[in-house]
Amino acid sequence: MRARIYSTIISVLFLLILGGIFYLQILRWPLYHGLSERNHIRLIPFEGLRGTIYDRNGLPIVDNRLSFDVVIIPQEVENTDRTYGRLANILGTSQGRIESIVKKNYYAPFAPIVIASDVNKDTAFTLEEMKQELPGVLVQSQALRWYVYGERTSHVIGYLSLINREELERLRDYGYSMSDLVGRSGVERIYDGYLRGKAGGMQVEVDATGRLVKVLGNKNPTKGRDITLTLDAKLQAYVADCLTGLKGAAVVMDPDNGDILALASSPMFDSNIFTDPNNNDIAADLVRAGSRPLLNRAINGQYPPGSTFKLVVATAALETKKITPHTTFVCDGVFELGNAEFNCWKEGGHGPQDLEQGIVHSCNVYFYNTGRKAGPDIIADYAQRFGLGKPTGIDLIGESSGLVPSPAWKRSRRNEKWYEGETINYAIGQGYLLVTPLQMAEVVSVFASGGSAPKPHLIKKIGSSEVSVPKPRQVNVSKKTLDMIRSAMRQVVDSAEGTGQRARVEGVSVAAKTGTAQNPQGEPHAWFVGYAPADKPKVVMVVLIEHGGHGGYIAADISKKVIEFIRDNTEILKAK
Amino acid sequence: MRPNLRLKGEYDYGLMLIAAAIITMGLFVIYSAAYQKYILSGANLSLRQLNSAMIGIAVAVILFRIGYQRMIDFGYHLFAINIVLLVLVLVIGDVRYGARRWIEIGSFAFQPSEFAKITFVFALAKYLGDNRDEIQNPRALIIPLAMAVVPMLLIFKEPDLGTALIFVPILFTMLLIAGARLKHILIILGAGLVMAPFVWLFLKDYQRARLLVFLNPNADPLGAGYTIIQSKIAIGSGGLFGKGWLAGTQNQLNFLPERHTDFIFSVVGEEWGFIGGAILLWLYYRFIEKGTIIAQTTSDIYGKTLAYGIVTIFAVHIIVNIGMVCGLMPVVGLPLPFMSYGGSFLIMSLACVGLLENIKHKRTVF
Repeated sequence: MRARIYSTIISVLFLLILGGIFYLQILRWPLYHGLSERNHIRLIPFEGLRGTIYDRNGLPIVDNRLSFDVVIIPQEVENTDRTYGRLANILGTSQGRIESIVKKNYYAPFAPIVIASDVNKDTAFTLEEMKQELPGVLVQSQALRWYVYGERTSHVIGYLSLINREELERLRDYGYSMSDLVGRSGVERIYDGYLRGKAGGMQVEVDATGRLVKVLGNKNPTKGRDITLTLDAKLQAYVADCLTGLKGAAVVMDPDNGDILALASSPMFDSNIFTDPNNNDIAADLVRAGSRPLLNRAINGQYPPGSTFKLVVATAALETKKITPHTTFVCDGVFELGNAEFNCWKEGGHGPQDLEQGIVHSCNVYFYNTGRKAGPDIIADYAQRFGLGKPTGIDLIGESSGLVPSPAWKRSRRNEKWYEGETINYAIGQGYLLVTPLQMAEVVSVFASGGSAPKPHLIKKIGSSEVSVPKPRQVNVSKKTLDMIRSAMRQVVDSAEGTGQRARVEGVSVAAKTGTAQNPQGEPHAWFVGYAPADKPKVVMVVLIEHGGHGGYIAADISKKVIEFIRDNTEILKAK
Repeated sequence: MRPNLRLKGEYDYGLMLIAAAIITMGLFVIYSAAYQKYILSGANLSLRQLNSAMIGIAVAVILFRIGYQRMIDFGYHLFAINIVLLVLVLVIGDVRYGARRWIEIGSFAFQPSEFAKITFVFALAKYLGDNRDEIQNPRALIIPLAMAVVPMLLIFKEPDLGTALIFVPILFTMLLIAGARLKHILIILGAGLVMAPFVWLFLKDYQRARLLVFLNPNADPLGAGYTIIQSKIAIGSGGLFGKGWLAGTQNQLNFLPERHTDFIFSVVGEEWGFIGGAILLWLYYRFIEKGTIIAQTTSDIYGKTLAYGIVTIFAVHIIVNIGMVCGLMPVVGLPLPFMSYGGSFLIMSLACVGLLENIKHKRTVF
């Protein structure tokens, strides 16, 4: 009896054990099979390098550089105290800080913890040499995006940052993943699809400590496409330097094909900061800063064009035969309309002015009369023909349209009547009218190129294939009119009475128009728009300085310096 | 003179064959458990295990020659010596894996706690045989209880919870077989269960962790729960046929700690699958069954209690070990007989086979 109880208990226990292994091995096999696979097979992603960005002469503007991270693998550290102590010495930090980093980021004994990101080369080599003495401390290298010119190309090139959730949802189908860096603005953003590398990966078998045992499969990452821009890197850097400390924008463009040679906005930011792991705070400050350094003023800054708009008004009036080149108005310093008075900028007036003089002296009264003759609809029509009021279509995201007002616009948008006084203001580029510096570059191109408006663009080549230049848009303006305006623009610089004479450059003839745009915020904005050489234009340039005062001074001075630089340091003027 | 009538088959060849089969299987499994691709062949540990097996066989033959009766005659002395060794181990013992369990003599190290199981069985068999007429008296149970508690406390102190606890089923089985009253046995058992929670207070941190982890292995997946999680993954992923010898990823890639000793069944499960595990379990079952038959068919009360004690040692080791490796029981560190790497335990196991054979050999039929 007692023996039977004993045997029964033993048999039941054996059956339970058999049931246990049956449950584990047969019923739960799929689960444990999966767990065991995940245990010992890892996918190590290799990031594909992002494409290099070159300037028109093949100089790298954005490249990739090696950065070194110091990591600790907790389970391989033999003497924690000694290791952390020596590491702290080498890295110039404290042992306590290293301990707290390890504590905060500890995940598994075999999972590396980054102690210091992007250490300098010497530190990396020192640590590499001490490998034997400091087991568990490793130097890992990775490619970091490197903006060779730092902040001097910031707005046009843009920057990278971690993909956000919304973008990930949208781009997942295109192979983007969680930890991807994506272009945030500028060229990095618009050509992100070409630039980004294809990630590869290696499927490996690892042991319990995460050490690699065997490579099961390998897919090489591929570098993204290199792209070549129309920018001239040296010129870009110089133009940016000229703007340093000011608020404003400058554009240098080829008037024939729309190649952007330089495009700068100020204040600037350093694109490197966004990818530098040690500088997260600075990046956040940039976004919040009151001077809005992230704003690309060349395409997003909208300003009244001031007197530079007189070029458009003059063209409109000539083309519609409201005036002839010989039409003369007398400027006595004041223009009266009803009981309102509109002043010329020159007290006492310019006296009798014909068209050329009106432009050269930038006489307001001459254009009050001309504008009134032409009327707002014709002015608006020509402004639009020159490309104002809509984005130029440059290959950058989010370009602003500016605003070309007209009586119809005012009626439909504001439900208000257009007053004649507004026409007077309109004629000298004030009022509702808003333009971007890039739009003004397009306007000037029409004169420089002899009647066609090129489409501004930055891309020249993707990989090794040339990107075809978009065909310039023909602006229907007679050659006679253009010649008339061009000769006046030349006089603006060359004439002893010209408003742009400070922009005279030795050996290069410059044609230009200055502008001084009144604005409610304070000092007027200074404009200088022009092209050179005047007889066979290779570049158009636009300089806008916010609250820079009279356009004939600071903006003209910058233009002069830039044209001198182009003459001395680039091949641009020497091309056929 | 006793009548010299012997049953046919003076030896239980089946018992020996099963033990030999399991040891052989064990050598292969140890080989695989110790094998490190390109680095280390598993032969080293397997050969040492084989060496221990040879010693074990020699010890078994010697014990067979001496005869179980004489071992029981000296039962108290052996037990007393063992108790002294258990005290000694706490004083001069060698610390390994945080526990003081080994005594080193020259290059030879052994665990007195392994031998305490069998000397306890000798002494208890002697006591129960000597006092067989008074066994119904509750007072006769005081000494067996004390005999169990003393080594348990000493071993518990080492600490080795698993080996300490094994005295409980041995004690109760032998009392049951010797004819103690069920009422008394149940009272002692009840008292023991009431005391159990207090044991918690004396447990080492790692022992508490193991018990907590048994309740929820994911509580500490990289610490105390790691072994049991990895062991379950190993066994579960073995499936029906296993991943093949030397091909278990959990085993070969070091995910399984202690896999050549206490957790050797997880290597069996992973590499040999459910089929291999079930065959091994069946071999163990047959082994226990044969031992039980020897015990049942022995009329000598000394031999009978001794045989039951021995069978119980085996049964508890097998059930608790496989149970814990599969996550059915807490991890208490009892090795798997004839499989787990380790000299002391293998020698003791084989010695026990020698004793069982001797009990069968000397069995008389009236």
